[in-house]
Amino acid sequence: MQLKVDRVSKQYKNKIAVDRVSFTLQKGVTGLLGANGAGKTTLLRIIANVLKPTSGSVAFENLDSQSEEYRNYLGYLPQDFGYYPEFSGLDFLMYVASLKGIEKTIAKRRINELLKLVNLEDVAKNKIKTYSGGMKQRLGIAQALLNKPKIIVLDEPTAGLDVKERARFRDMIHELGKENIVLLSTHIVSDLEKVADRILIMKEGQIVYDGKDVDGDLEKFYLEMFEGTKE
Amino acid sequence: MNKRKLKSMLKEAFEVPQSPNKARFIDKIYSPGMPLYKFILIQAKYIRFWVYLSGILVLLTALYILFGFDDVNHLWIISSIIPFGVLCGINEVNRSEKYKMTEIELATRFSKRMLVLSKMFIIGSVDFIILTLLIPAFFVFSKGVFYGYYILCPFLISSYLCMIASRKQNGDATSICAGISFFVSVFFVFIEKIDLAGFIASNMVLNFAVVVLLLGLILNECKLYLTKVEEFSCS
Repeated sequence: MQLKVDRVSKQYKNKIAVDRVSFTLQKGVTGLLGANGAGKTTLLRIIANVLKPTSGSVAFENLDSQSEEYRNYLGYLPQDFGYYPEFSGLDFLMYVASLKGIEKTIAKRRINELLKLVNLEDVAKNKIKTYSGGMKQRLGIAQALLNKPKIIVLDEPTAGLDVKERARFRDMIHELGKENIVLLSTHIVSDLEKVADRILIMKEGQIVYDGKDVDGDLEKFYLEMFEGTKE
Repeated sequence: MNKRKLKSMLKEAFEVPQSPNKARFIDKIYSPGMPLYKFILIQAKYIRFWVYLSGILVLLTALYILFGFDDVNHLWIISSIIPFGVLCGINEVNRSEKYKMTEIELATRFSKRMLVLSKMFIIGSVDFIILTLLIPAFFVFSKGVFYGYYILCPFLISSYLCMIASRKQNGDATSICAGISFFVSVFFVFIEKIDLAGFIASNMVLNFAVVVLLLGLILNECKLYLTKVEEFSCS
């Protein structure tokens, strides 16, 4: 099982947001680090089929990222997402399940499992506008996992989560990474230290580091890389 | 030991253990396979009730004016309310942008393009039924004179302009579409006042040509709009 990102670039008028990025992901958790504006979100959007690359391709087991089959294997949590104001948590998940083409009976069962997993069972029928930031984020994680995806793309998944929720989320990611390809971006280095099997660091649209060997201190390594003291 | 407890112990002792591969096997064969027609039917449920209601209100108002006033001079009221019915439909199609649902919708199996198409199909079908009921009523009422521009032209012009605005605007285009609907509504009141309406209505060829031209423009705009929604545009 592998996800191949092959010489992907994205250009907006005069700015190159992602510049000829190539890597192959296998089962496990891969962390994507980088400063604001490094191109992380653009790259994740391309992998999640939200943006089309200017050049290059993304494929999962030879399925092109523009295909319906590819999206069938995909779970995506955007950095900033909304919801229709009349939706309860349950309605939101049922709606996303319908877009993912999941039959109603299967969707209901899956939603119950996920609501338990993200600890939103008791408030599932409440309107989303009454949820806290952390609850909304957990709901977003639940929608990403509805179709039992093989490729899980999470953009800043821990934003808005408190310390306890973050620890719980890390465990969940660790479990998901055993059977799936998980790619998550964050600027909180400590989120990745314990769970990531591989680290990608982006700078000015390019991957400047790909590995895991960071001498046990990812934060220090990351800072050194951005201060330019590490090649 | 009572009989029930003995039964339960026997059941436990002889029950075949679950295969550890069962879950993996189920996962392997599981594939969400909702057919397209079912997807469209489900999406009809997510279209807000007042979108359907606005169509019904246009129909009822038009029928009331046709048979209540029994006077061709009041038909302009219909052409001035139709753009607001269109506004409701267009806003519903563009709703994802307003509520930041676009990214999630784009990354799903059916994707945004199919979602927009299904909404257009549902709302378009409702509008088509309304027009199918109204056009013959107009024809009968006006004793053979085709007052098509009273219903079709405001409908097509509003749809066309609102679709252009939605395509050009990154993000929510509600206020622009509201402005367009208002403009088209006022425009049709104006052409009634300068008596251009009577001229167009009595000229069957001109009426037909305008409708066909607008239909062509709308089809082209639909194509451009669907291409645009295939990709997320940052607002």
